[in-house]
Amino acid sequence: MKIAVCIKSVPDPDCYDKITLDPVNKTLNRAGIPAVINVADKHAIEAALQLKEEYGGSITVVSMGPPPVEQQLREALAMGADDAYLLSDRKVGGADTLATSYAVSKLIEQTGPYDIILAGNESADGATSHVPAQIAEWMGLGCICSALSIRVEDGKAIVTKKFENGTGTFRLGLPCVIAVNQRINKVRLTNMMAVLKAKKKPLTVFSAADITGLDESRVGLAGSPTQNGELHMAESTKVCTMLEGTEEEAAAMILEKIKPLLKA
Amino acid sequence: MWWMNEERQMIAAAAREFAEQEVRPAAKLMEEEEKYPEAAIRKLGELGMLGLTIKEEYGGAGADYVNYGLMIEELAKESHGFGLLAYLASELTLGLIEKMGTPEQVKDLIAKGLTGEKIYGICFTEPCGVGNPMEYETRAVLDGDEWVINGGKIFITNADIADTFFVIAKTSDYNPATMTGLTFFVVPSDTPGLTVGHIENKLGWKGSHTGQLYFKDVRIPKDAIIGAVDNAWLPLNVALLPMFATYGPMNLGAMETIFQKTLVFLKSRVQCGVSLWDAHESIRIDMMKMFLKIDNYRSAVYSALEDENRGENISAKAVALKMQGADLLEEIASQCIELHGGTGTVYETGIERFYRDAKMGTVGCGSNRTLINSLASMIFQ
Repeated sequence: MKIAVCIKSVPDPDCYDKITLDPVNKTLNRAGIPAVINVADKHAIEAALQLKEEYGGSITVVSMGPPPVEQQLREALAMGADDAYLLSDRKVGGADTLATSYAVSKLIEQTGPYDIILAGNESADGATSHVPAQIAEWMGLGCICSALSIRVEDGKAIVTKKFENGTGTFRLGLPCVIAVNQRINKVRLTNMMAVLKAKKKPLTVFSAADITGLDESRVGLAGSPTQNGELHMAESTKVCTMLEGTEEEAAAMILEKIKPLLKA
Repeated sequence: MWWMNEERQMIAAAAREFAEQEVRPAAKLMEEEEKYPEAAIRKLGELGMLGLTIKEEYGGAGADYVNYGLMIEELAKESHGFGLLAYLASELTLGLIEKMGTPEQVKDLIAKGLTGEKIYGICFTEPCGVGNPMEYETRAVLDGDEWVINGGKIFITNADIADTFFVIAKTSDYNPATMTGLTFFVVPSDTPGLTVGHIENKLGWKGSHTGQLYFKDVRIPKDAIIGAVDNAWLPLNVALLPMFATYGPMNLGAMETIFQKTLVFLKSRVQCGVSLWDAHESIRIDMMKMFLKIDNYRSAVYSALEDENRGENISAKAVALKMQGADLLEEIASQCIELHGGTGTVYETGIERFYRDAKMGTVGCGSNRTLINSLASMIFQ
């Protein structure tokens, strides 16, 4: 079974409090913020590893971004993926989810074919959850998002999906795209030997010109129908008030505070 | 930092992940129940973190010493004592066999140590003092095809844990001029005549079981020695002393944790509407002085480990790093506890245990007062 896993390099969520807004360019100032593999994508890699252990085959990780994203692809190789591809070109920069999914789908077509294409359900920075379904649409494949379990039977993927009030199980023909929920698995700890071997695994960087049939009018800023509007830093105006006295007195004070809200 | 690269960042990140998921809960049990972190140590083996620098042909990862240092630093951020136990289960014991063992010992002892299947201990100290081999009383006498060992050891880490001990015993009268007369033996812990005595209730390094061992007519095969008869100082100098450098990243990890916890506390502790950090210039100066000392120590640690990668003899540097680091860790821990006020003395704050471990570092595995004398000999004689 050939599995592709789409990963995204995102600013380390542990450092979100250090990200600032450029007031002039309306962009995020990420200087000094380390990049990491998007957390949900790590669960997608773990899901791929479990599928490979069960059914055999290979795992390819793909991503799009500037050259430093190679670091996150190396991390994915250290986690157990077999090879990696990066689409890195100024022409694909500034892409919204539509242009991103188009470019990544072309990268997948170029490096495939694959039986299953996995991704995290959403990214920690954008959190739109658009890209997996859009990749499936570009490639004309079936897609399930928020997957909680995956197995393969009789050439079909059996996927349990999370809904708002429960779960449902679906049967998809292969190839298909599956976006995983973070609850699908526990990501295993990385083996040090695998880290050291990761540098010897194949990692190929493509430019836009290397991708066969890539329509350059559909990628990058030019291919993006959505653009950032005004961005503002959220201001926290919450104030913590310490209530003193006995438990009964404090409970009475809390009641007084919330009474007006209940009436409203 | 000049010593970092892509691979080393991944090694550090993987070790950090392990430390947060495995060492953190193990450290709690080490402190509160004196429990040896056996599951976490064996898991280190499963993940290729025991014997990181052991050659690939022996089953190790073949990583360099900076990678090893980065791993120990991350482990020690959660627990200085766990860092010590990881060092004992890996480069200290496996490195000794790699450098000085016979092909049979390499095949048997290293393979089982790398996976965490077997845990080892090293036996030096006797009641007369570790640095006083003239008066060591543990003796081994050849009887046909077997060595017969009699005597006792104290302050042995892993005393009731290890599967096999590497034991120094007198095989002839010790000659201080040639440093001969001692031999390293390989003694399985289930050998008849070997018994475990009292396990000490120590100030720090909780969860590392340090105790006494008694040898009464302990018989081992004639070839169960490391290196040559009467020449235990060669394995000591070749394999053990350079790995004293491990105390560098161990101390560094502990310092970084204490410093970061203190910084967070000072910025969040508000009195009269102002944080302690913003209110007191003297506190900022104290913290900056500590930061610079830690930063200098970090450079010295990784510089020495790079020297080790180049094949230089770093024994003197390694001993110096152990001494200086233990003193600096004690100083940093002491100052950070004071900056916390009473909160710093409370176990749950997570600082005072590093202070206790720091004191262990100044006396354990060769006290600073013994080592500084040895260091003078190493450098000036």
